Amino acid sequence: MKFNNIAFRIRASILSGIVLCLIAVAIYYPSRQEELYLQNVERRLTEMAKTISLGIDLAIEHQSFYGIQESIELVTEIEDFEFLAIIENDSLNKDYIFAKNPANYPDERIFDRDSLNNTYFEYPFSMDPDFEGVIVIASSKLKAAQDIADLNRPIYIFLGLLLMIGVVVSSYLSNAITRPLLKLTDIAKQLTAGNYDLDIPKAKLDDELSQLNNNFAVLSETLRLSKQTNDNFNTYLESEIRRRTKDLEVANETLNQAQIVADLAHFELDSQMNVVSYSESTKNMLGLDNIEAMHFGDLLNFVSKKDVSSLIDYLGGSFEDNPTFKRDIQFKRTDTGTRIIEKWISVTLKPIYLAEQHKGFRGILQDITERKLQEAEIYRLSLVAKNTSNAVIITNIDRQIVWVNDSAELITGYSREEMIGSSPSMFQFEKTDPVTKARIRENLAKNVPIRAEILNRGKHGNEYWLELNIVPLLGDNYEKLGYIAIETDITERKSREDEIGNLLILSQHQNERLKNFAHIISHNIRSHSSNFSMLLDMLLMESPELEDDDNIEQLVQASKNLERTIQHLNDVVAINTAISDAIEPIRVFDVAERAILDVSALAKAANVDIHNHIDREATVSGIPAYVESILTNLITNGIKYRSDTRKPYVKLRSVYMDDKLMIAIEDNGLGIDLAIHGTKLFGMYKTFHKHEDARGIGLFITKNQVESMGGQITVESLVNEGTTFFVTLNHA
Amino acid sequence: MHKYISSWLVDDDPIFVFALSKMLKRLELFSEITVFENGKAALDAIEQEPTHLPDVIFLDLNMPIMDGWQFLERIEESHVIDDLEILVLSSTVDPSDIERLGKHSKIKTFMPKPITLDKLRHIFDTEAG
Repeated sequence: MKFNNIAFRIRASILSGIVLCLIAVAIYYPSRQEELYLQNVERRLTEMAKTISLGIDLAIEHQSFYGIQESIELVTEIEDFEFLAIIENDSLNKDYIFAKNPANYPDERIFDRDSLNNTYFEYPFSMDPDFEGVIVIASSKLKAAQDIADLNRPIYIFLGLLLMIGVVVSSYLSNAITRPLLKLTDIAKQLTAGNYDLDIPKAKLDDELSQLNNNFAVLSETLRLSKQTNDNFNTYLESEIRRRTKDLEVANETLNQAQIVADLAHFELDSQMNVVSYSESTKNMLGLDNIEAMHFGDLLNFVSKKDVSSLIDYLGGSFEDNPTFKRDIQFKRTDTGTRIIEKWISVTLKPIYLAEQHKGFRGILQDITERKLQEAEIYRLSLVAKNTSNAVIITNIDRQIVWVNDSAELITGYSREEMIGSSPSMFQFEKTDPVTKARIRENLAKNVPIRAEILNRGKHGNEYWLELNIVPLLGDNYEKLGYIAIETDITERKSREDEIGNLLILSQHQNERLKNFAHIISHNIRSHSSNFSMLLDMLLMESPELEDDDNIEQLVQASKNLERTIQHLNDVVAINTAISDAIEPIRVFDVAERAILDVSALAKAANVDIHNHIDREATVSGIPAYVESILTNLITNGIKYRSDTRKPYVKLRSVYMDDKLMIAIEDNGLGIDLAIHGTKLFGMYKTFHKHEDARGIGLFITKNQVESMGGQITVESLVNEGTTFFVTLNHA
Repeated sequence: MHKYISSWLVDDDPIFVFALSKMLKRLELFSEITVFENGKAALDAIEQEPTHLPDVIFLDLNMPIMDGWQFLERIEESHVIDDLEILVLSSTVDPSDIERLGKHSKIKTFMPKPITLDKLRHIFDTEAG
């Protein structure tokens, strides 16, 4: 049994209560009894003494000694005294035992009244002065004590019994109390230990302990549920935490990656501006490996002076007023390998405070070199747009003007403010061609760029012609962002064009008139020359003898020459006026065949072999009549200027060259001395053979025909070996 | 021997007419040669005496008042051309003229000036042949 626990305490308290009571009783009652007994004894004895004294007095009075004896014998019934003695104080003042009871009691003990063994009760007697003395009754203390003890013993026994009963009862009571208490304590201990799975039977009674029990039951249940809820919550919390931690890790990793991707770098400085922490990307960005050993001042060595002073300003104290420092700085460093690192870096600095104490700075760096370069580029481009003498007008998708350059202001006469927000139709007026306007609208609706000439009116009423180039601006997803229009003032050009147009019309009219004139003249000349020939013919026919006349001969020749010249003129004029004839694709082989057919009689008569090796599929773009004429002429030449000393031939072949076709007409005839005649070969009226049919005009006409089809003609020749003409025409 | 009886020369150039008449007479092709200065004169004659049509008309293109083209159109309209043989003469070298002539299918032939005796003979010989 421990001395701490409640059972003991209860037991102890009950017991001690009982015991105290019993002790109190045991002390008080017996002592009271003793007291009472002694009082009783005293009283009795005193009474006795008194009685005896009286008796004696009476006896004395009556002079009866027998009476004294009887008086003394009276007391023999009383057993609880030690002795009774009548002590006379005789005339000598000496005590004299007159009588005593028990008779054998030693006198000395009667006289020794200081003896502690007895209690003495004295009562004086004597009426007679001659017989005086005391009655002494002694009560033996021991006897008294014994008597008292006898008297008290049952009490003690009774008390002892009571004690035992009390112990039992107290035990029982304490148990009755402590058992539930212990149980509750145990329950409480379990609950404290966290074991809520208890089965607490409900108490049946309604007293405080039962209530406590029931409350504990409820509490236990509540705690159990609470624990369950707690457990569930904890489980949930754990999984949430796990998940969040994972997310956090992922986010952290992403952040790290993002930092690297975005070329972000960060670092921290302490209040002494030593570098105390930095990210990996910082080292990479600045190209410094030993950044941890650096003082911020060292880094400033690589920064331009202007930036340095602004940084020092901030770090020196202005961060207290303006906490955030943000600036694009230039960073230039020469590596150990003489490699120059030059970058634009965006620096953001913020001070760090801990409990309102300044602790240092946190910085973020971002590599913006790329952006700066682009910005510079854009700036340069914007200068172009700004300064170009062309007007540049940018509109949004609602066709409202959002930006204009200086030239736009100059050309239109309106100020920037007047133009921005309005539609470009502000520049159009009643003379602006509606067809052009519609065409512009249509194209832009289809997201197609458009070039057009349009008449606009400026602020001051001036009309001007513009060459418009409008391009729709499309975003990355082909969504329309707006339009950009570049406009050139072509008023002057337009007026010149008009002039030219007028001139053209004028010259066309003149041309027409000239043509008509030429037509008429040439016709008339031809008529006259033809008449002349005819009349000469008739003359000769009617007077044949005139044939021998020299003059008539020359007249005839002159007439023929005239005819021929006129014919030539006609030929040349015909070429130049027929330029508008339709150019069509021509199959060269077929045309060559026709030409060969044309000259077949001539070729046969001259015994010349003509070979057509032109590619059957070869086509050129030209006027069929011309091509035929060209080939005929060149073949004819080949026939005409054949050699007598070898079997003559004319060969035709074709050669493909890029977008052109070269036709070669080759003969093995007399050849031409190009050194002498080369430059005049294709000139009009230049003959180089004293040949009866030598006409210079042929090649001149041929050249004209070739060139009118956009082609070229060249010649290669060796005297007495042969000639090859090369005619190059456009492919069909 | 005269193959044809009558011919008309519709031309405003008297020298040419003179020369051509001589040639025709030389060739003894026609017994009758009538000269008209321009298309209108010839047309009037046709209208006046539609039955007296010539066998052959030598038609010039360039004439005042009514040129050869207009004359052709007019007689084509009136379908007189079916009974006529027309030879067109001209000193034109304009290919568009020649092309245009091709459209008038009823024209016998086109003879560019100057005309030679041989050419005439050739044309009328083939005719005869």
